[in-house]
Amino acid sequence: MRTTVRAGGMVVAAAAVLACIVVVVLAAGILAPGDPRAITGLPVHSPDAAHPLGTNEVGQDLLAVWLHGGRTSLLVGSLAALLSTAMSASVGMLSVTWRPARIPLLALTEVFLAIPGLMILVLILVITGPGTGRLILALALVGWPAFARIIRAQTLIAVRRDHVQAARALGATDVRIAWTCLLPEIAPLLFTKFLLTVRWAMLMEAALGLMGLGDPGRPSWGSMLGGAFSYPLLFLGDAWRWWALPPALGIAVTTVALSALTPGRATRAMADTPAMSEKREQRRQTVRARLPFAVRDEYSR
Amino acid sequence: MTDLRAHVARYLVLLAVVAVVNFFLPRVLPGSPLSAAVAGSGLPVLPSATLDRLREGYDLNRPMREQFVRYLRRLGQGDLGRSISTHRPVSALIAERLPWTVGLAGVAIAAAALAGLAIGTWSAMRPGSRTAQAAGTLVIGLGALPEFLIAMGCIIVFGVRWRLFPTGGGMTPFGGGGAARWLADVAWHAALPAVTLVAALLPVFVLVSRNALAPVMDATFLVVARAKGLRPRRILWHAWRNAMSPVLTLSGLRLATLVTGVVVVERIFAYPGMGMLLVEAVARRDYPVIQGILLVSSVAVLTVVFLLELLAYRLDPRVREQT
Repeated sequence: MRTTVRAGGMVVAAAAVLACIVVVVLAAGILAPGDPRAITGLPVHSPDAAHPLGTNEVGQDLLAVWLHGGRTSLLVGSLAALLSTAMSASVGMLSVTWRPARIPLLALTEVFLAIPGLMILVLILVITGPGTGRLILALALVGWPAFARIIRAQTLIAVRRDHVQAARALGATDVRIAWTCLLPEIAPLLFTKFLLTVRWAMLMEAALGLMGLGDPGRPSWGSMLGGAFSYPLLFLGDAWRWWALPPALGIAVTTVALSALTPGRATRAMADTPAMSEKREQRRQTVRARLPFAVRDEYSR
Repeated sequence: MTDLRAHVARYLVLLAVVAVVNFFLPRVLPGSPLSAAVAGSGLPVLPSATLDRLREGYDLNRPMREQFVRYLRRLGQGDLGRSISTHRPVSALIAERLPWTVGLAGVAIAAAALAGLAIGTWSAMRPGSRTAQAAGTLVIGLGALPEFLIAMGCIIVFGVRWRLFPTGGGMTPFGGGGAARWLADVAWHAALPAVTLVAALLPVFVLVSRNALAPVMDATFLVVARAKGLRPRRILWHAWRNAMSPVLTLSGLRLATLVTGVVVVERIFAYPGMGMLLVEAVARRDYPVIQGILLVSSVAVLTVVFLLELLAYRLDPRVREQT
């Protein structure tokens, strides 16, 4: 408990930063009205009164692209995280409560963990064509398996508890047990998973944007970075200052704030209190997944 | 022994499944590889004769079952197909680029593992110290930064401001000179991408080695070692054996996921490795190359994880007791 109190200041600061970003980005329509793709100036122009961040290679206003792009990136991150959290929870819980589904679901999880997620994303986007909706669905599809294992381990413990047995004896249906007894037990884990996945999805969006797989019809921070790094003279002049730096900082500040908000990750990992190592020990016991994957689970998704 | 056999069986089954998924994934998705090829060719439409030849070249005019059998047979011969844009065998393209990535990432992973072990040990030996906690916070802060931001920082400071290192490419074109000069040139070009990778990898290694060492620092066997009057170096050696397994596991996993792990860094530095091959293949919608990379990277992950589990089993008696 003490670490939570001590971490309070950092959590509040991170939440405030995140709230600021969300407000600014949501106000994109007011701050930069009109279509961000409209060509409003000369190509690759330095900042002036009309374009506070200058223009890109086709003459779009970079401030408008940044504001609207941030909206896309946050939307992609949060929707993909929401969907994949829901999938992790359903798969993790179903693999415990619904017996016939156990082996297929476990096998599916194993296969998804065996193929590098970025490769699945790239293949899907290359064959179906880049697009924001498809990107969100693909991220959700790739982002669920690691946590489904952790949810499953936690559910396995939860179903053995007395109140669950009692509910079953009283004739509660499986759905009711899952909803009222199991879900509250795994809810804190789901919150952690959601925050980690928003971060992961935004970084993946940036990586795909850098690879040129951003949605051509809808600017995002990732595709803005991709555009900047495709410009061969980016670092020869000052262009990187207003073209590459704003989206890079946007993603960095958002993801760092998300890390600081994530319970049990940044703040606790290095804490020296004995309570912490106890908790870590517990977690090590609950996560019964095999060692290498367990390591990967904790750090990559 | 039965445990080992189950292990091998699981590994082989997963390998087979990955090969099957690699075949079916592009075929169940909406959109066709051919339309992707047309998009990558830069022409609005391809002549129908060309399309027919493409269809024939990629077996797409045959029934699905026959395609699958032929795919498996070719896979057995190590044939990953041909690139659409360059018409060269995918396996040759991969063989050409893999050494660059393995060299770059191998050095970076080894450096990050050693430095991480050193910093982790230093901080585990000082429980409750303010300096160690501050260093820990700093490391976590570094770990939260995205790779491309670290890369940009490196380019701006070392490449643009101080002009110490080149900011792109793998070597000087038409450099000439002997083997030693070539090697120095390659290392000079790899400096900035390697520094970026080390900075991005270091935090996890610090955390893992520290978390493995901290709990054993006051374990009975170390108290005994100290009471016997062993030199600090010997005591540390006893403690390190506990950190070996997680640090090795982590290094192996980073090595296994290296193909996809270095995409961003290679893209930013235009480094001619596997990540850049993937970026080029994506730009040309060259899906046989993408599929080849998917297969190779998945097999790498599976193989390394399989070997690591065996290694953990041999190295760490605690794992043996569990099973």
